[in-house]
Amino acid sequence: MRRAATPAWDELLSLLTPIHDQAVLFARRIARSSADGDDLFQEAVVRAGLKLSTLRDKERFRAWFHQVIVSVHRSRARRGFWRRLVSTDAPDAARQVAALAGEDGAALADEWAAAESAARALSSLPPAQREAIVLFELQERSVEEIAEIQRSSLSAVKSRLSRARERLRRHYAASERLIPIQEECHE
Amino acid sequence: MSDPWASDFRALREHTRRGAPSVERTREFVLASAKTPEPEKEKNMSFIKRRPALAIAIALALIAVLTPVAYAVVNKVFLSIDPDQSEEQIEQDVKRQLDEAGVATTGVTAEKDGDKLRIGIQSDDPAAELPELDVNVRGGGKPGETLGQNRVQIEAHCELSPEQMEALTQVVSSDEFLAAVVDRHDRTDAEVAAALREVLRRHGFDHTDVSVSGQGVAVTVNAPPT
Repeated sequence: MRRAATPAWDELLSLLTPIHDQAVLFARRIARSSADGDDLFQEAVVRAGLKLSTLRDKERFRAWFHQVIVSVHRSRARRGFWRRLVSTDAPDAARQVAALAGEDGAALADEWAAAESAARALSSLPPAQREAIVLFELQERSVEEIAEIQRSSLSAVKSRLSRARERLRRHYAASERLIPIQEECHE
Repeated sequence: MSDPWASDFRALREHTRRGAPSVERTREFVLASAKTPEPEKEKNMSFIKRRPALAIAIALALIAVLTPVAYAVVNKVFLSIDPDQSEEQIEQDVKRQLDEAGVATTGVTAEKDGDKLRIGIQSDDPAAELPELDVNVRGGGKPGETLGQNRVQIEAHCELSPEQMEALTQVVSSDEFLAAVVDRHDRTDAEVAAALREVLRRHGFDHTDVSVSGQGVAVTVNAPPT
């Protein structure tokens, strides 16, 4: 079996540390759950370690590592239909709410419900649109940065963001269709 | 006026920070990986949660919501699926129904893609015999209303890798395959079967048996794709 190049773990760690938290959150936000996001991040770390020697300009590490996350995300999406499993545990969000309910259960439950709603909306987007909208709306990245991460043109990213917003609007409109029915009941 | 998702996204932003792995945890992981050099592929698998191997006889269900076609495999369990639910809700619902029916599975996946809904059911026990899934898809958001369905049963009589299984999924969910199943025009069952065999053959599945009887289609894969 072909052996991979020796990963430069020390160098990877020193480059990764300053952007670590940001990258973890990106992975968690484009994945279907925090647990999936952590898996995605770890897989990206391994792949980055194996490919680091191909990165000539280390100043570009942040964008490059996000490119690796995007690449792993797409690859997982392609194979995901057969590999992704439904956890038999309670959703991690529910566990967190349950664990922290003593502090401020109602507020956490609200946050959990809203976060679930956001995750559902994001999961209705194709991977590339999901990545773009997460980078723009949640990670506050510029269109230029997103274009570099997604290896796309500026116009492609703008179009992707526009299509993603349209799909999100439709998703939220569909989920609110019951409201007029309730209003009629009050009349 | 703000976007309707603005407050949900703010919540997600906070939510994803909770319990996020620290840089120290990643460091430990990286150092552990450095101590146990492995070939790339195996390293990926040892790093991530190990995924159970796919069973030889795996249930494959694919239901088209608007072009009603249902794919299923082997014995008899009735599954009721509400396509208006989210992917996660469908997965959990199907998993619950299978658990209640005593069907040993390790995972259920649901993916919405336009007007199609794919359900994948996995088992990591190669000896497990998964029952036939009698799939009922509720249509149009009206509880209790069932769409008329064409049924395609797929059975693998050989070991298929996850990639080959995915390729099979892609073929049977392709527009050309669905069109041959749904839009039969005046073609006889034998002609439809020949058309489906040809679609499979073009995608490398040379050794398949296809039989068509009314709205039922049975596909048996006898050898991995070439």
